[in-house]
Amino acid sequence: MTDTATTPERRRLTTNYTPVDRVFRGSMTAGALFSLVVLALIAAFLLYRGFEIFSDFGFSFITGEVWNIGDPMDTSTAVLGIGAMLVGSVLTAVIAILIAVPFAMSAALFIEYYAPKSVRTALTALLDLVAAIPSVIYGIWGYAVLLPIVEDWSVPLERWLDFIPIFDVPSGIFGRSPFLAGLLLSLMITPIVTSVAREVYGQAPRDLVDASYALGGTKWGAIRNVVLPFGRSGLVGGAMLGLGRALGETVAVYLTLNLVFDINFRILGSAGGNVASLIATKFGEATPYELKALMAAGLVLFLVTLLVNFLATVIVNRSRRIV
Amino acid sequence: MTLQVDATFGRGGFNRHAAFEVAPGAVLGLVGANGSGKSTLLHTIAGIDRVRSGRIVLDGQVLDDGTEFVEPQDRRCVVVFQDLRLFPAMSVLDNVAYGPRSHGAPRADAHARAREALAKVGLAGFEGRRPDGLSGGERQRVAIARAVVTNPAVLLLDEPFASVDADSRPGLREVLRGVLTGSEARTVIVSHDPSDIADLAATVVRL
Repeated sequence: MTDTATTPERRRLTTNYTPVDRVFRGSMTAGALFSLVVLALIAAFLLYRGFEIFSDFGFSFITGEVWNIGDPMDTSTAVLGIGAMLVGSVLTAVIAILIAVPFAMSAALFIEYYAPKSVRTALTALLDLVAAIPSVIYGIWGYAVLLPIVEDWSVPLERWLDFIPIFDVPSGIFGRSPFLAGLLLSLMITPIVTSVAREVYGQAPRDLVDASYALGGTKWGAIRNVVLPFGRSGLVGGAMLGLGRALGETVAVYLTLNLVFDINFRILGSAGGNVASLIATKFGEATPYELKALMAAGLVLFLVTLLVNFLATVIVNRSRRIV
Repeated sequence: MTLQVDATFGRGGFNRHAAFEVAPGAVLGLVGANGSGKSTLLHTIAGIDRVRSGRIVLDGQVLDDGTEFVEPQDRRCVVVFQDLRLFPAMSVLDNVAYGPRSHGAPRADAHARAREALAKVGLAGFEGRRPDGLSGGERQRVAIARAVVTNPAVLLLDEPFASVDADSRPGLREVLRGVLTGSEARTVIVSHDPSDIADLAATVVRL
């Protein structure tokens, strides 16, 4: 039987921070919260400036294809919708991903499993350099160098594949097309996807790779049966990070894609656009009401990009935890 | 036509020397304390690690003598690792069929051989399961089946009883005896407990 007189007193657990601890903890917390505060302020600003547009047009602002400011003195004549631009954003981003991911996978596997050490170091540094090239440089290069090549190749491609609707171009006008923009975006996002893929593939269990060799497997067999299954979710996360970058890319798309307000899935035709290039194109000459519409478009782009990047981070972090 | 080992091996500052021969169909036990280099020696015979000096010869072919080196996948040596290293993304059947498939066997043939090997270790009916759904003893048997299905010239078993409880050890010993009986493989079994391999190995070498 317990003697209550000798029952030990419940201990209160406390942490006594010194003043230096408190200052350090406070400044680190402020630093961490700062980026969240900035994010929230940007969202609040865009919502505040664009709210009138959402209340005037409702959901049709997101689905509508027409962008007509009407009479600048009478905002009721305006018909504004970013549906065509949203579709263009997704279309160019998907083209970019479809081209970038196979290249990124191949590059990552080569760097991790085939390249000699000196080549590996050089290639990794080169990829980081390519990732740092400003978007405007890509845009100028795409316009000056890639555009004539894509224009030349679009004609026979359309002739061979016009039975597939996305390759058919009834207007016969090629050039600054979603395909060109997507191709350029793929070059821009390949370093990001390669970097994530390389990190994930490099963490594949070495003991399982050795087991594959010890059973008579080749290097490709080890990669196919151990490395690729292991790196699957990490690669998806990397692709989504690239997708987030492609969705928000402005200058490169602005220089390589003709802005046409028409939902267009014909990737070789000279028509399209994305939300970011819409904002860049219209911002300089926008009326006050149109400016609000651009803010609202920016909010939609902001939320979509935030969601894609959040999902990508969750997937990549989950693939790291599996290690 | 033997496996001849007369080599110094090790990693970092650790060096050990071993010298022995294993004839076709013979079983050699390798015992020693923890850290004596038993697993490292197996890995060196398999080609995962390299000799420091000396040589490893199989049926007259030099596998490793410091200059000549035959890659692991070309050695006809198979290892049953201490940590088993079953492929988690594959079924039991695909795990066991991996070796034959790697050597170019058609899928149907490889699966047939795998089923035969699983039956031999008492795991008929386990083909569709995944490694993470098996007990330690069952995983050990899958690893043994995966090794023997390739009819290797050299079979290397690293602490096969380590992941098995005392009650299950007699059963696993019987499985191994059944697998090794009639096999032409030169077999090396590593254990830190000599009693585990006393009735399996004709010769015992202590590191």
